[in-house]
Amino acid sequence: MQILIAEDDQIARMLLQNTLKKRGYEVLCAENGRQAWELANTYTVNLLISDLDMPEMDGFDLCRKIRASSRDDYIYIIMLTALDDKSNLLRVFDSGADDYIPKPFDPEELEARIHTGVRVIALERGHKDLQRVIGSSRDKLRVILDSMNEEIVSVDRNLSIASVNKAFIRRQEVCFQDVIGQTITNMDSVFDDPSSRVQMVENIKSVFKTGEEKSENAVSGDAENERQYKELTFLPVKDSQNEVSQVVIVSRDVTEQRRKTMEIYDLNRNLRDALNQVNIKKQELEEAMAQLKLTQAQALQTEKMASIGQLAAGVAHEINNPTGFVSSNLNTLDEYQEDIDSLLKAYRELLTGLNKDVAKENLSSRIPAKIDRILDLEQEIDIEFVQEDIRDLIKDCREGTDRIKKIVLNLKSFAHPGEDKLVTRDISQGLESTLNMVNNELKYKATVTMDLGDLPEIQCYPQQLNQVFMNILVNAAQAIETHGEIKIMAEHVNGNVEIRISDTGSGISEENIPRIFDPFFTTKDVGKGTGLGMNIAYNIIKKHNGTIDVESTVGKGTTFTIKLPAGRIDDLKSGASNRT
Amino acid sequence: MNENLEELPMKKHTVLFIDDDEMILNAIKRALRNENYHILTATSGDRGLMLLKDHPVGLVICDYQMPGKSGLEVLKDVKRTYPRILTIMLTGQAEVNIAAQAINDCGVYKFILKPWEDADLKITIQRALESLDLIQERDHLLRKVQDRDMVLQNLEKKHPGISNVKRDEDGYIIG
Repeated sequence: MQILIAEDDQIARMLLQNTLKKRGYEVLCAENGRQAWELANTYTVNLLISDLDMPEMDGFDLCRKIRASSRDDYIYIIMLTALDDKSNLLRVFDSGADDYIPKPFDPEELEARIHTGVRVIALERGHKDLQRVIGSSRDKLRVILDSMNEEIVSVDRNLSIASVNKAFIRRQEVCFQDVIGQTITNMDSVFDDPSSRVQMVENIKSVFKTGEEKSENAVSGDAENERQYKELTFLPVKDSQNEVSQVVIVSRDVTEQRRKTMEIYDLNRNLRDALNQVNIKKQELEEAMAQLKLTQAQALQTEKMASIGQLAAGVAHEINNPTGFVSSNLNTLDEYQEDIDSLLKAYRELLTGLNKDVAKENLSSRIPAKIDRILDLEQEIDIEFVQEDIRDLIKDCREGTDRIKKIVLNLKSFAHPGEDKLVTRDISQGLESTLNMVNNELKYKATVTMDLGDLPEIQCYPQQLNQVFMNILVNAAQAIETHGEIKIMAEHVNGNVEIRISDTGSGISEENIPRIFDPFFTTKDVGKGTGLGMNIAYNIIKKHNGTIDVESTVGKGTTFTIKLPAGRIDDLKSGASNRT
Repeated sequence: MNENLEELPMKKHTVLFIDDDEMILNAIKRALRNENYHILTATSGDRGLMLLKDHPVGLVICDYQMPGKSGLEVLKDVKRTYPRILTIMLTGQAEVNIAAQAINDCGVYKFILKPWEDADLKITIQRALESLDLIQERDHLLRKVQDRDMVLQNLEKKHPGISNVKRDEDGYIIG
């Protein structure tokens, strides 16, 4: 603790010095204000005790000078005043002194006053330290704010700018002093667009009113490539009363971010497009795959039909040979039998004549015995029956060969390879031969009735139509569980040949009806049906420019109606389109 | 016996059947045994062609499908070697292309489908033989006419103008 004494009166100075030294203080002494000023600038002085009246520089001037100078430590100043002179007190404090002590001083009082000074000095020091800390932390904050890219500006209730950061100054190309105190709406460079200015003022006012944060996007610049996008955030700054005292506006340039977002958006869109393309391609592939599968299955079916046809033709040819000679031989046998019959007749006449007319005694004894033996034998083998039955037997055999001929004929007309040509034909023939073909399968299941009207000839592929009829008939038979009826009807209606095939089978459920012509749709057990029969039927009828429809009631039966145009079908093939 | 022989007309024609199936040949022989022609049979095309060398055959009836020479080949050979012989194809396959080939390449007279009706077979053979007779008759008459022509030509050479008769518009002989 260093105490400077400024006192022109030597005795008083010595007294002070001695008193203070005695109490343990370090003491500097000056004879006048000027000397004291120099000492205060040279040494570290904590407390100054100064007389008022001094030559060269009085106490007031010294005090003022010290207070005006900037120094690290606070100097506590105590003025020595004459006891009676109260008029100077105001001046004492006005000049910056902290206390006064009347002369002559009482040492105890001086000590008390010094103690107060020491306490104030300590307080001053603490205050100064605190201020330094606050200042440095504020500086640090400012450094941070200034280093930010975001433009930050704060305004008060009058929309005057209270503070800005370096980014703001840099962007707006203004200088700090010019900006502070300006009304923010006067800053032209901040707002290019008057409407956004209005918007901003509204936002600021709203934040002042509500005390809640707001944000908004703003655009500046006309040309697409010069356009700048900003994100404005309005933050309330509240005072101790929780009133909004300032609004801080943080303006962030999001042009680049926006550009990147747009880029990402574009990339995303491209990706999505590519993905869509991939999906479309995938779908196309799947469709192609399904089509391929269908074509393959249809090809297989066609191949099957063709090979059945080939087999049928081959078998027909092989059967024709034995049938030929058997039926011819039966013919000859019949003729032979006729000859034998007439011969036997002649023999029997002879026998009867011998037995009756000729006297037995005229014959040699062996003859009658032989005649008897023959008569016995005749009876034994029942020759009359045998003769008659042989003719029946031959008749039955010929019936058999006739049937074989018919089967072969049906087989040939049903499926004949290489004969699938567009011809003009009455379809009754096809219906009949198909029915004959599948009759074996039908006859134990159903009573089949066929009612064919007078039908016009139509252009068609007979073998293919036969296949349609066969598929429907076989399905009909399979739909019948024990025994039922199958009706085949055909008539000429409104220029169409209309064929209806109905059964009294189990019927098709409502949800299955729309699907029965779909490829691979089957209600039969796995492996029992390919699911192609009705699809092939549909496609064949389509190829004939015809229609095929189905009506069905579960438990009652099913009716298929096929309509084929009776007129010429031009360009049959190009008109065909498959149901897939 | 003698009476029978006199009743029946002389068997002047011979028909050759070729089929690899002997049962077919047997059946045909039986069916046609009372017909008015000789019947020869062969179980292959080559054997049939051999028979043709030694026998005066007028009609060959041949199966279409046979091992070795096919019916078409056999009938083609027959037509080439013996153009006067008539041919009939007996087949179990009623296919247009076979028929067209048989008619175009082999000059087949007729088709008979297996299985055949004996009555149809008999009639077809009868017709074929009749047409053979007609051809022979035609050739015979043609020869006769040619002979007469020759006589006339010779006469004309000796006595020019003798073969010409002048007539007026109404056909009356005028000189």
